[in-house]
Amino acid sequence: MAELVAQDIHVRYGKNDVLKGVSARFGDGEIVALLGRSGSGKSTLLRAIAGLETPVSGRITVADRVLFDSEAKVNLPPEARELGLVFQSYALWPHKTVAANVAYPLKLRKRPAAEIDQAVSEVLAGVGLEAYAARYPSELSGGQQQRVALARALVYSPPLILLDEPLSNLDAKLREEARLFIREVIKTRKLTAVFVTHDQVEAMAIADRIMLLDQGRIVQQGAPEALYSQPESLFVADFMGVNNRVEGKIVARGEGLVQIAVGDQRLWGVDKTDGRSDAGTGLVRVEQVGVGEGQGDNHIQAALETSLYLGGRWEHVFRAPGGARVRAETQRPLAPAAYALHVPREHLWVF
Amino acid sequence: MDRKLRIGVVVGTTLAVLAPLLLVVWQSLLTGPFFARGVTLSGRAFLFVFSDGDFWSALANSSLVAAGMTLIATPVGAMLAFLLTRTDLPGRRWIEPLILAPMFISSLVLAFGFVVAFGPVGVVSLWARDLFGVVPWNLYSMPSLILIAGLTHVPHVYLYASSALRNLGSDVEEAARSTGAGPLRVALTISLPMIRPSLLYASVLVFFLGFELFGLPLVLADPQGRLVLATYLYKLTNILGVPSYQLMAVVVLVIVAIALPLVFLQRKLLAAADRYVSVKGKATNPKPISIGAWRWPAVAFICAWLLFTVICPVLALVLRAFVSSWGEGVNPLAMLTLDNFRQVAAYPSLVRGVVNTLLIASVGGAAAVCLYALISLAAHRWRSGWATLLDYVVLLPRAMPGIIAGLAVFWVFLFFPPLQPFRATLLSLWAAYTLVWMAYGMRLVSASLLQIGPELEEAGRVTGGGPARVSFDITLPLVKAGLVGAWLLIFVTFLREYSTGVYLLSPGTEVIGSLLVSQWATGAVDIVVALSTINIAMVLGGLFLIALFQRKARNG
Repeated sequence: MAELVAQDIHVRYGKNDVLKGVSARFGDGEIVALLGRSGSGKSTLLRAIAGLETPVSGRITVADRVLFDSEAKVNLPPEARELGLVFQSYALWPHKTVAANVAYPLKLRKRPAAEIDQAVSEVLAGVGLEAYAARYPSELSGGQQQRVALARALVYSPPLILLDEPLSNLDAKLREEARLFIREVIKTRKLTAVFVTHDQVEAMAIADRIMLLDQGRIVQQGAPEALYSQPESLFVADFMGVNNRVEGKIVARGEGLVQIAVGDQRLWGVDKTDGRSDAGTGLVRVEQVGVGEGQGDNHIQAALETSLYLGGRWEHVFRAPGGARVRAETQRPLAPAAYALHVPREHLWVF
Repeated sequence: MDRKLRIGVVVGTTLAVLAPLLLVVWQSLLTGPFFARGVTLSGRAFLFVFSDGDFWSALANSSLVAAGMTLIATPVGAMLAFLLTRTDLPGRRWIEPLILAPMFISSLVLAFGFVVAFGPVGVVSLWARDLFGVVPWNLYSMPSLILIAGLTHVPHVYLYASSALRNLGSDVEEAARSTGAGPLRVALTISLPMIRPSLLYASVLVFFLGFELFGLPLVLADPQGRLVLATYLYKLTNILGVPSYQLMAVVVLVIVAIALPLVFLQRKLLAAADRYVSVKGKATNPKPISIGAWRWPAVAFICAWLLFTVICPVLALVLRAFVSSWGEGVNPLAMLTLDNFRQVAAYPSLVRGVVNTLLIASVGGAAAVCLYALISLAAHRWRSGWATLLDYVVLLPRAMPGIIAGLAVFWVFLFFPPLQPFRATLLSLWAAYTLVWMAYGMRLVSASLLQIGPELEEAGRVTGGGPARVSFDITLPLVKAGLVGAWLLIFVTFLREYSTGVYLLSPGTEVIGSLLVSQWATGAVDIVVALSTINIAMVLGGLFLIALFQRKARNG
């Protein structure tokens, strides 16, 4: 049973507050993604859990074990925390073979040689690298190196595994394979996993739950679908997808709805404003904009400007009379003409 | 390493560095040597030195030499660096190692070489007299000293300028070429200005080395009675019959007081230069600039410099070591002999000197590198006031030229009773050598330590290794090659060191360097040239090892 709890973590570099009070609960057997832009504090939180950064205050526990507690003056060194960490650069030791890299944690735990040999070949087989045991890390491809790093973090069966941008050094094709593989490995071993990423697609694909961080705070957390389809703030809405975004004026309010004026177009959308300001920002996912010829509520007349073929679908850029640009997707190419774009009111969020 | 051990190393290093300096300060305030009876505190030593006309002329000469050699070495070194790293100069590959040669040969040995080649009866001088009727130069003059000091310090500038140029992307030069600038113009208006921080650092370094100069002025300026600070200090020992330690201490303090601000200035400039370069990012495979017909005058210029500063002095010295006499109308080839070397072999103290030199350079060098590694590891990735303190402490020995550090260590071994039995052993010499080259050695070691990504060590910690275990299993194996490289460089450095052993010379602690100084004073030219040749051979052997090691490292 390995529930990880972080309470009110503050981390400071010199005068810079990197984490400004982060509290998070990571359930047993759950895969959680720490998502955010660079500088949001997501890697710092991971390093604080691993013991590589010392918070100025807060408390970190795994199951009943206290790893860090600023009040009780507990600060276990990294080697005593019993967790696995996969580094962004993999951090394989170049002077040790693959087998020696993976065996090192067991050697530190003074396991008998026969047991080490068996554990190493089992875990290497688990990541599909049993044939590479005698190689040096520099003789492996990026994807293989990443599997070794994973094997090294798993071999001593830590209850908790941390992954720092595990996919960022792989090329696009390998990345899709690796995210499936990593999720599978973690789930079969029933581990609690925390992984850091700046890529929302990767986060949604691997994680059971996402925590979105910005400027040292958690701004929203929840299941991937929830973050994607029920964002609580403009930042979350904007971060999680590919969007059309317009600034406008709020001209009318209804039940849970507001009407926003952009140029001479008026659109109804879901009210997510604080109700105090006249200015509003409308946001709609690119895939929610319908392209047709009809007329009616929440329709915009716009001329097609450019089309990009993205493989299997087309992305179009339209120019509305007021000068606003609207992006939309279709399955078929479109001829240059004026189109009516439908922005469904339930998919237009106004912040 | 755990915190206690780290703090212990910092405190130990601080004591070892500060003890000699504090002892010098204490000695400068006494009326006699610190071990004599009835000495009292007084400022008389300062009054004596500061009212001595010789002191002021030595200070003036030192300033003149330092400034003059900086003005010569900086432009020549910068130009050489540009030609060799950025252009398609013919023969670049074999010229480069030769350029660094003056750094590896002891400047005392080079000075002897200049005497043998360009002195009043030198090989080159005699040949010139046959040609012109008179020798058109006077080796024993201030202009000659400044010129030679300047030209022998070109490699220092070259080293920093060329590494900065290599980090510079070639695109900035190609941009200038494509807008219509010629190669010379590119060098003067683009490349060299862009590495200005490195050039500034190198020129401050050369200026600083100018104040430390001992071997060259001892051989070239002494005969005409001109002193610089280091030779003034050396003469103080001999002038007054009794050991005038308090006066020497005052001169030491003056030199340290001049050197210390320069050392801190260098530290600031180096940080600035590093920052400047890192902004540029990594340059990938720079393409050399084609300089067309300029190639030949450029090669001629470099060859002339090489001929004058390295080839002539070294060849003349080696030739002189193998002949019995030398002079007008003598055919050296008819006089070939091994007598000079037999003479060296006949003196047990000289033989000991050769053996000791090898011992101190190999075993002593290895021990020094181990010590430097221990100190570097103590401060490695440690954000703490202690680490900052250590940073400044290891800079202090840089402000002590070899002759001064040797003197101070000699006093420390005289002063502390537990150390006294070791004064006349190689241990005292090793302590002095290690102290003098501490900043250099630490830089070599920490450079390889910094090349290890922090995550390699962090990975060791997270998988369950304690700090000491990680240092031993991960950090040290990864820097092994770097440490061997550092040891080889320290080996060559210790081989050629001469001034540090001057005051520590006693039966049992002879090394070639200090023997050369003392034999030169007695006028034993035959022994001096033979020992110098042996020393050059040793250094060449060391350089050969370095080349082998680098080739091996490159081939994996």
